[in-house]
Amino acid sequence: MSERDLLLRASERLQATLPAGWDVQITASTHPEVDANLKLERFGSPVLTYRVETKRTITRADVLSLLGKQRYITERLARQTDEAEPWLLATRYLSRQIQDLLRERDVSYIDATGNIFISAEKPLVVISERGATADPWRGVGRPTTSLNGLPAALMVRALADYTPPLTVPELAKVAGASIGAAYRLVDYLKNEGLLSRVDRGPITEVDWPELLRRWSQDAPVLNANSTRGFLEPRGVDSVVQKLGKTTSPQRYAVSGSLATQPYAPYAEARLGLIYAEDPMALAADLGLRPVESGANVILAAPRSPVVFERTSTWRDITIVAPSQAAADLLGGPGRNPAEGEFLLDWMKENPDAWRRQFDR
Amino acid sequence: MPGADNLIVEARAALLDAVAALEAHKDSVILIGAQAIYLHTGHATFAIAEATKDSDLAIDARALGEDPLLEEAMTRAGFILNPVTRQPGAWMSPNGIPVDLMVPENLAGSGSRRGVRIPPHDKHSARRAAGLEAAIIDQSPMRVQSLDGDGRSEVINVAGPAALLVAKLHKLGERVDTPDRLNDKDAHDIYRLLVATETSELAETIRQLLAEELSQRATTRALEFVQQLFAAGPDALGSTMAGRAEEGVGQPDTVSASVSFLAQDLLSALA
Repeated sequence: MSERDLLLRASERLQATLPAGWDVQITASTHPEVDANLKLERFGSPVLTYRVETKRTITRADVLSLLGKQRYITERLARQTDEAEPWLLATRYLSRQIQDLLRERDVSYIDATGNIFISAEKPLVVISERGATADPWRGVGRPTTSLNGLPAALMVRALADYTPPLTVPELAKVAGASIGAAYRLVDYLKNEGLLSRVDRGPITEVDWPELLRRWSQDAPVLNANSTRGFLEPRGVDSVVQKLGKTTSPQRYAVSGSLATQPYAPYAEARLGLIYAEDPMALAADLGLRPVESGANVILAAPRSPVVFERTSTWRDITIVAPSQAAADLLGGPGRNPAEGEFLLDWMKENPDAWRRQFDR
Repeated sequence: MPGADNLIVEARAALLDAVAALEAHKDSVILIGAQAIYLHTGHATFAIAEATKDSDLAIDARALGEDPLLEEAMTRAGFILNPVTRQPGAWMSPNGIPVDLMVPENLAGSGSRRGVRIPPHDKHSARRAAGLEAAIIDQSPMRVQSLDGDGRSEVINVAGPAALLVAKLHKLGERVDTPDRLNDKDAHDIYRLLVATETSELAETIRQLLAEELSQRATTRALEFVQQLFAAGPDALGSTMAGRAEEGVGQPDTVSASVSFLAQDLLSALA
């Protein structure tokens, strides 16, 4: 799809959301740095004009650099004409994450699948519409840029848990991943704007809250592990008590709401998540009943042993590291995502309580 | 629920007033109902708040003295019989908080109406109720404190978890055929009792209740209700009601499944 085609498609989508009497007009721009102008008209009178930045595809890093470029253009136009119209991004497809980023920065956007956000103060106009949640034009066989899989799990956790600077070989070492996989992942994350790295040098900064959010969406806890629901009829706290007393030799680690209790308890835990190498044996030890609905404990056989890395002890039970608990909650069911954001806030305020230095 | 906390505070105050009014009969008065349940289950946490405006008192008519008469003692303390329902034993404090005096069916004397035959006390002074016999056996004194910080307290005989379970099961079981009188909260109170009490402890007391002549029949019937309303599964009427009580604030499916498993555990422990 050419840039012109996608702009037409996206503006058709926008037109479809408008009430009768409103029109979308696309016109060519005389300004060399502006791809086109988009006008909203009501009964033939102009209401809003945007200068359009058209991009076929876009990454987080592209958005961040576009913000800088557009700020510069705005300033220059304002100097020339007193008033610069706001800018709008038009693309083939925008992922949820990028939409969130744009909204956060109050940037209006339209995509060819119907994801729309138009926000203006004068006159007050807000148009918001959801389109596709996956890129329908993405070619088959292209690498799915994703944090799914074992090496990604090892390295995401290490990037969150270790305070930079950290060289790529050091990352590979603490994570237990291959050096090749570490370079590939670091390149990818740098392109996505999730970490900064000196050229040929160490990683200097990691946007770990966003990294954990991305990981939780690419590999949500209930998809990435084999899980089964159980019920402890006396409630989740009773599971903690039993687990603290168990003499079972098997390795386990408690995650989810329970793992936030020592740091950032959001509310009474209603759903326990426990990783165990042999979930059925642990369920039998604890007297949990397998149920199809109404579970208050989920036992998961982890695909990645990373869940057992950097655990701690609370009320005589083993709990996962905050970074693991946060990702599990962000991708979890019910009110888990809100609990995950609450934990991220605590983690941002108390990095010394959980991030560690790489021991050189 | 706005005002819910206040309701509990006022209900507790009315209870203490009623117990003080019945001071002379103290040994024959036993606290039952939701207030007694909360005294036993307060250490466990639940998605729905404790809420009751009623105080329910069972009267052991066997040892009940003649002086003062129940109706005189209550009236002197400012209580009146509820003028709207005109039910026997449905007393109201000056603030309009209900305090019910009830006599177990087996001890309520002859007659088939709701009033009692425990002369010289008036037949409207208390109401007969099925399933309260267990409370006469399974009870112990507890210090019950005011909730408004005035430091007031009374030592009151409080029915034990097993007796409270038997009483609630009768309340539910006997209303199965009149669904408009069924209250989801009663089933949730049963869930509270089963969660907060160890199954073995509950089973032990129920065995004693089955061995006593006074409570044997009511307890046997209650166990039939346990089977039919709860142990039969998460979809049984009682299990469903207990879950429904948490709709919107808790986890209905979890509660329904939990109460059913706990009921099954209790019956297995008794088998």
